[in-house]
Amino acid sequence: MTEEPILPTRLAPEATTPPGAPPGVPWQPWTPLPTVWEAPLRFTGTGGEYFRVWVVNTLLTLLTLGLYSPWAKVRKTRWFWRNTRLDGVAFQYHGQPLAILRGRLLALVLLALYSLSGHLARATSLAILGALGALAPWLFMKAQRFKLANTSWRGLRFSFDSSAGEAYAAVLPGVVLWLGLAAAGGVAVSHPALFALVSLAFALSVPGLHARLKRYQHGHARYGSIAFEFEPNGGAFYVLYLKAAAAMVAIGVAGSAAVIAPLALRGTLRSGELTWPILLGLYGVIFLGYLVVGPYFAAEAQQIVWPATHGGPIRFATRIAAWPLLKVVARNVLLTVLTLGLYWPFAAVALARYRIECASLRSSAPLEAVAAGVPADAAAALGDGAVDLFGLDIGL
Amino acid sequence: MTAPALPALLFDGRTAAARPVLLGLEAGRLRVATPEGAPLRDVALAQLAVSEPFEHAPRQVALGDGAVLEVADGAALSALLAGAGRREGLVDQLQQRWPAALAALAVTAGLLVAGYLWVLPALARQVARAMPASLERRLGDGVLELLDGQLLEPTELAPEEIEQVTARLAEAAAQGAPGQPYRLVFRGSRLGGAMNAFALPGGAVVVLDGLVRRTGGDDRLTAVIGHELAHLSRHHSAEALVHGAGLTGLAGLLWGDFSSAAANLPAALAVLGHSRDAEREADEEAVRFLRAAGRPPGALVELLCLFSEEGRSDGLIHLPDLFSSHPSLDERLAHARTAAGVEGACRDERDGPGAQEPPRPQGDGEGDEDGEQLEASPDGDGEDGNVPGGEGDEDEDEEIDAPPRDTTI
Repeated sequence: MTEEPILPTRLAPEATTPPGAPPGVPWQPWTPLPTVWEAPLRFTGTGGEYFRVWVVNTLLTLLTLGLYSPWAKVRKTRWFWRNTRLDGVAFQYHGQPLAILRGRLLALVLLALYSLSGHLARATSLAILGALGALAPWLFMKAQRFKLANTSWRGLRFSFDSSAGEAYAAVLPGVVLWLGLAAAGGVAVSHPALFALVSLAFALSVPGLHARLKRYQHGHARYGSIAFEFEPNGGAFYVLYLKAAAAMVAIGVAGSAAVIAPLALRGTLRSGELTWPILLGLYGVIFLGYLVVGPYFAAEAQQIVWPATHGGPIRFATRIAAWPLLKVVARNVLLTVLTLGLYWPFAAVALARYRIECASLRSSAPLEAVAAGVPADAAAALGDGAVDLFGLDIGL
Repeated sequence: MTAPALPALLFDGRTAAARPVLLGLEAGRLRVATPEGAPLRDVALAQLAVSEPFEHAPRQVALGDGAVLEVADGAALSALLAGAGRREGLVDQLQQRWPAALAALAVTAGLLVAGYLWVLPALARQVARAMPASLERRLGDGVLELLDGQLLEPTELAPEEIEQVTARLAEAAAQGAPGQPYRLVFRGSRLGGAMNAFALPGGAVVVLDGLVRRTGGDDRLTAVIGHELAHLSRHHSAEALVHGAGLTGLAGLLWGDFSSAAANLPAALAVLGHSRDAEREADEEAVRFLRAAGRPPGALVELLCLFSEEGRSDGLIHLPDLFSSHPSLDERLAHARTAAGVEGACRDERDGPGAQEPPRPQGDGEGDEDGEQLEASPDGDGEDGNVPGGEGDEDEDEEIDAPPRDTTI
């Protein structure tokens, strides 16, 4: 349906343009449903206020040697959620610190098991890795559930409606494929051709798995009685990954040449020798690559994911674009470094404001009529903490 | 109290519909009424869950049965609740006020500085000393594995050369540091002809080919071993590793990137750089080691001169000064001269590169002679040798025809 470029004609474009969004970025096409309700997301928080929240959080976390961190996380999330408004009404976060603390303790145990597995006998270590892999889909499901079930808007909770079976069907193929390819790579490491083949298979599997994960993540979300759906578009993910990889390679080649050429011209370079200036220069090139390609990838991924998500009469759009996002990120990195980290909270707010205010919602029916509530289940925070520790959280 | 007057939206928790209402307080109960004044709800204050005040965000009041009020004017709600004796929590008060937040910032900065300067080093020392030998060795093995994958390659030294060097060093170690277990690990460096050695937790002393070649295996290499054995006996490497892990964890706490706690590369790099005190201690110990082994203590000074001439820029462990907590070589040289009781500047190594010098005489009684050699050396400009790019690979041409092998002794 994203192929139908039908732009709204009944609404003035000004009415839907969030403040601060750059002009000239085309809207994602809407489906031709009659629109009775339409609103952009707004972000009302300021960097100064979040700075105060962050400083107090940091101090208490330090004083308690990290024990306060679940409380800090809850405060931070409440601040961001409540400063995000849709149609004038704020979102609310209901996560309980103790639940997050329990989740993190479990995650610590899993992490300890994981680090231990390298030092044990091969069979034991493989068994531990296998068990962790088998646990991963369940943890992922729990994390989604905790996040959504603890978010509300207009007094109604979101939820994540997935059985364990659905979680395993969605996530386990990826886990099995990755573990299998990793094992194959370990065996093939001494045969370059075989290793290249395994690496290629790995690279080819990533975009498809990403799309699959998004479909699971967005396709099981609910708001009240509205069940969201995600129209898979695996091809778009492949194109995106290909473009991002090409950009990374281009920056890498051009950057390395720029680092090495002056030294080669001066004749101070000897073959096979890596000196510190070169090494630092190459690290700089890698950093530049991430700085440029990261925002590009994030923006494009959102452009793929949000228009493909809808629930009942509700559709989403985002006008996020690579260049403005890159400007926000570059400015954030520069100022955070220059201020020795003190700009960090301001950077977090600048990024959140841009991303949030790019998004908007449109509905062909009044929301009041469609969103009747279902009781929120008391989701355990287990999965949430584990994903936080392992950094499994993929995109938005 | 007067009639309800504070505007709010009432959500019943079953649908998304909003109902405009007015709020008021009466006899310790929250009264919710329609805009026309008709009473809707009446809830005891104790049952309310009120969200904390933020500057630009509306506040929510949960009524306890799933229904929620959203109040746009947070300050007015605070005033209303304060009238009933309801106060804000300490953290809420702190994060609302700039003076409190700035005070918190100052305390945080103080804690971080104190933690970095005193608490973390002291803690690392305690942990390193209390660490079981098996764990220390396992840590060291892990670091070596990591380095082998990234920066090191198999040695190119001939097996006979390795045997000779090992035997000579063992002889010195038996006298200089009896009872200190160690094993020599010879490796090449992927960073050109890097000239260095370092001790890993658990007793491994990694010696890079460049160092063996440039010193010709003479007393300067003995000085290196004395220095590294001192790092070992004092558990400096384990200490640095724990210190690095602590720093990584601290950074994770600050910027909330929990997954970084698992990354061990920063910790591995920390092993390669000891603190100023650790280096000084190990230098002093190396002088004692040389004396006890009957070797000239001035060999340490010569060794540092060699490093100085190398320019440090191509060494494996020498990060640019900006990032390094190492004492400068000049400082170490001055200290080593005092400790070894020798004077004078470095000889100009460019007149006679170390690798081409004949091996120095080994054994007892040669100390004074070496000291004289040092003093007699011309006051050359050896310290001008700080040319980036390094010249440590003269020996690359004289490659020995032995198969590269992984030697752990």
